[in-house]
Amino acid sequence: MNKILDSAAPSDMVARKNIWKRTTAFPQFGILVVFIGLFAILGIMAPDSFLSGGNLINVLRQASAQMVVAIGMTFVLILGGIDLSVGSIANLCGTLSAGFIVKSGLSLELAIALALLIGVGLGVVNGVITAKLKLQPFIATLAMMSVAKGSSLLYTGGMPVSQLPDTYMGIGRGYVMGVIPIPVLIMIGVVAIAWIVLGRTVFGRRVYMTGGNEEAARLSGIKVDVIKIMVYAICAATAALTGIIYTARLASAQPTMAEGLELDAITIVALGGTSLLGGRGFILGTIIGGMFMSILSNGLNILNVSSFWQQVMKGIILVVAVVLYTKTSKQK
Amino acid sequence: MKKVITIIIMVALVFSAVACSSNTPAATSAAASSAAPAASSAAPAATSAAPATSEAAAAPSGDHVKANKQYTIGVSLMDYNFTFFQDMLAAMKMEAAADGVIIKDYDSKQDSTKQLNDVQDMINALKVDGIILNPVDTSAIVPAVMDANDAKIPVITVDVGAAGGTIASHIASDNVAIGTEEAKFVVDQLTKKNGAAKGTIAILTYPKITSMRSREEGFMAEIQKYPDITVINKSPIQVTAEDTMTLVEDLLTTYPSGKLDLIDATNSSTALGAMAALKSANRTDVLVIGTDEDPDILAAIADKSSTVMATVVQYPNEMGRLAILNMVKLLNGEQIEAKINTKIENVNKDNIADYQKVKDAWEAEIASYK
Repeated sequence: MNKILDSAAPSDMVARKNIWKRTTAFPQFGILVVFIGLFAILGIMAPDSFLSGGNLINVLRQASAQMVVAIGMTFVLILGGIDLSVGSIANLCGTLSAGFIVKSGLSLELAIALALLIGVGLGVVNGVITAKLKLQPFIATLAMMSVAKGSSLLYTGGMPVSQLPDTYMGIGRGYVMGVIPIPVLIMIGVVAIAWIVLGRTVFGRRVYMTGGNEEAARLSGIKVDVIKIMVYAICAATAALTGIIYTARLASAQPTMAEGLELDAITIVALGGTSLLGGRGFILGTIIGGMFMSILSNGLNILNVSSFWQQVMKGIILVVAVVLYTKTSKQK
Repeated sequence: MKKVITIIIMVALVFSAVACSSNTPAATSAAASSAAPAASSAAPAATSAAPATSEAAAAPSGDHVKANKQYTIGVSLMDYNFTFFQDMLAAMKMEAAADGVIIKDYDSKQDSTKQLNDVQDMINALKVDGIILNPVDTSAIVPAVMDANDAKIPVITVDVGAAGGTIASHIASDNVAIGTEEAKFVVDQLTKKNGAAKGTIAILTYPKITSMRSREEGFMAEIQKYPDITVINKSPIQVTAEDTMTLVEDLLTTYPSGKLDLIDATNSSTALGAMAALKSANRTDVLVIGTDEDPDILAAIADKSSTVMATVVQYPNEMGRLAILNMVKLLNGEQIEAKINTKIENVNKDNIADYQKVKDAWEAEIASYK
């Protein structure tokens, strides 16, 4: 009897504590607070430069390329794997898309489509080596990184591929409805698709399950190998798309394009709360992580802080964020 | 509760990091530069230090122009890791102080994407009045130039040009002429060594950087007039002294003593790499011709026992000074020339002493801005 009475109506204080608990239990609470905090400081320190509309739209555009590949990396990390080849795949596919136009005379649409297809293919290779040959993802994708990088250099002879048509440059510089940069639109599209796929499809659920406990997933009838191959293919496809965005923004394919992209992508995903152990990951986290990194770069650039300092800070922030997330998950 | 505390600590960390990093003086962004804040002193005392041989080099302390208002000029250079650009930047800061304008400078670290981001930040956030660009890549800089054009911000390019967009002025050495000059000196050296214009030489190139590509063009066009000279063309993967050293070491193995007469390096880092490789392999039979005025190259030329025979120098201080000067003139509403060629000079064992005096003079002038 007493039990029924007690649980009938929670007292006022308990209700407030519940709301507080609910808010802080939201996994991205930490990074969101820091993000808002950073935004606020920069807004106070440099209101004319940082808070101007032109700058904020510019930051969104600068964030787009990395965000796209970070979304793909989110899938891989939820799976419990890792993909070190995204930088080289971005470079190779971006370069190929440029080369197909300039060297082989293909149309813009065909060149990009082909480059994306090749990206998917490389991702499938990553997945097959990891799943069927049972090679550790670290090693498999490390090897792919070398192969892709070398292939790109062989293709270009170390020279940039330039003289792209204005239409390609338009992808990087153009706006939709006058205000939204095209790369931002691409980013929103990729984010939306990923959100739906991870959160609301059977496939998405299976990715989480495989990442959480591969054996259990296999025993429950999930074709784990197929899931793996598809996830690596998705990641490589986003990498290829990122390479294309870079190529569009620079109106050329540079030999050093997207170097180190894998580290940036992993940093963004980790900042967002996705565990590198697998089974747990959030698109929302990746979004906040990506925006945080871009705003940090932009803000520090405006304040003319040496880029060496920026590197150091990114490392420190990453450590703090991950420690925070580990503590959070332990509390649960 | 623990969670909230950790969050607050993290926020505080970010706050303090951003806050204390914003206290660094605005103009120092290169690790190589000293800690002394730049351009905050009054007119430098060394302005009147024009040396007696001032006609040999364009005296750095030339005419100044008073800016109509305190313009902000954004500067983006290719890579602060070269003395060439450090000197250029220091000369820019000096001229800016004299003319009464502010500089916001950025190091692109050989990364076109970073340069694009920096220029876009200059346009959208810093809202600069003018932009001085030293492009990492001539084609990749075009979108950045077009963004500046759209924002009606004038652009001046220095040392490396842009393949598109509207540029108010391009200030550089004639890089093709540098190549031609080096080739002529090579022929001269081979004739002294072998009795005629014949022999085997190697040229260290790096086509990714357009100024070096032009030097290669000028060199090859001239050297091809001499069919008895065999040319081996090699490029390092990255234009660093380390990569070049490995490359040249392999070259020396392929061409043992007596088989290689001379190495021509089309910039300072490749010259330094070649010099290091020759030293470690103890090959005194190979002559070296370099480019640019790196102190180690000059010291080797001054050393009578060294095989480094010459280097074709540019005047980065002049480029920097003229860039700011012309930008201020333009912003003031005056007309400026569309193309300005700065001086180049063949510095070899005969004239090294004189050149060193001239160089020391302009180095002293810009020293306080480094």
